[in-house]
Amino acid sequence: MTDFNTKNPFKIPENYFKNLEDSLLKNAKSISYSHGFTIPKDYFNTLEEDILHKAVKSNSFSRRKIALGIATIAATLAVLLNLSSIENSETIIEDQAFNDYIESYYLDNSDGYEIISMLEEIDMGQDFEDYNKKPK
Amino acid sequence: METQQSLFISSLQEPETKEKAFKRLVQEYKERLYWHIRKLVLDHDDANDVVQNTFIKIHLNIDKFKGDSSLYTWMYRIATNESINFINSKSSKMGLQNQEWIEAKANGLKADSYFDGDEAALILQKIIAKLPEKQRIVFNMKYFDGQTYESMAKILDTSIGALKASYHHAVKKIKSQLND
Repeated sequence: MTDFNTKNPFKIPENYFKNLEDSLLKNAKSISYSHGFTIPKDYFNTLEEDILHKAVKSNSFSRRKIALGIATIAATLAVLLNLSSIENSETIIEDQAFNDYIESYYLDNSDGYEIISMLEEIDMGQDFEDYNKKPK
Repeated sequence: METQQSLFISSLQEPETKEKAFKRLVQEYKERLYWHIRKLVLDHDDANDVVQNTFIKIHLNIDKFKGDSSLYTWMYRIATNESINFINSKSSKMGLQNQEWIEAKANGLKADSYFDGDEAALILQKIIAKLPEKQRIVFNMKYFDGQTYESMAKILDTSIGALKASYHHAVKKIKSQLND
């Protein structure tokens, strides 16, 4: 057994493995592309640029969309709040006008005694108590 | 492998590393996704639109990717859905059924400057266009891309049995059409 040479006796053609790699890649390519579809030259290089460009754009667009959404909500809330405050102020103005009208009516048509008689005793007591307080 | 993928996904989700990682993702998957889409929509310009939309969707939704499936499966699913949505929208605008629109596209392949297949390839594409949508997708993925049923089941969210049946029906129909 020891007389046998352990060296590999088989030989291969020159550049076999390089050619094998090329032919395997070519075959793999032809298998996956055998549907007949082709693409423009350098398409995948430009595709990458296009995608990256659009991705950045869409990202800033979506951020702008969010900001615009928030601004729209804020504007709507502001308008609603304004409307309700206008309504409130109108009510206050109406109430005040009515009170002024009552006040001026009694002042014009009643004397001091009549006005005093309309006040309840508790109110009067409190008012007088306030006056009776000694200044500190 | 899994750790590598989860690290890559994290880098896609981190605002500081997102752009760089996304560039890597585009470089890695652009061709595979393009060819998958191209075989579904047939026309190069249409495939270009769909592949760009697919990557934009990936970019916009990568933060929501929870890693329930592999990144590859998730992206293929987006690409498939985008292709179907594209066909739906184009065909409805023209008042056609999806299959009619695809058949019209397949009939126009001979005049397409980006199709250099021989007569057999042209006939095959015309027959594939006549298949129902699911069978068409399954046939393309299995026959041209050599995808496994396991991988296809994850992408299309269908059972392996259903996929085998679809492929079997598709092959049977194609063979019978070729014999006619």
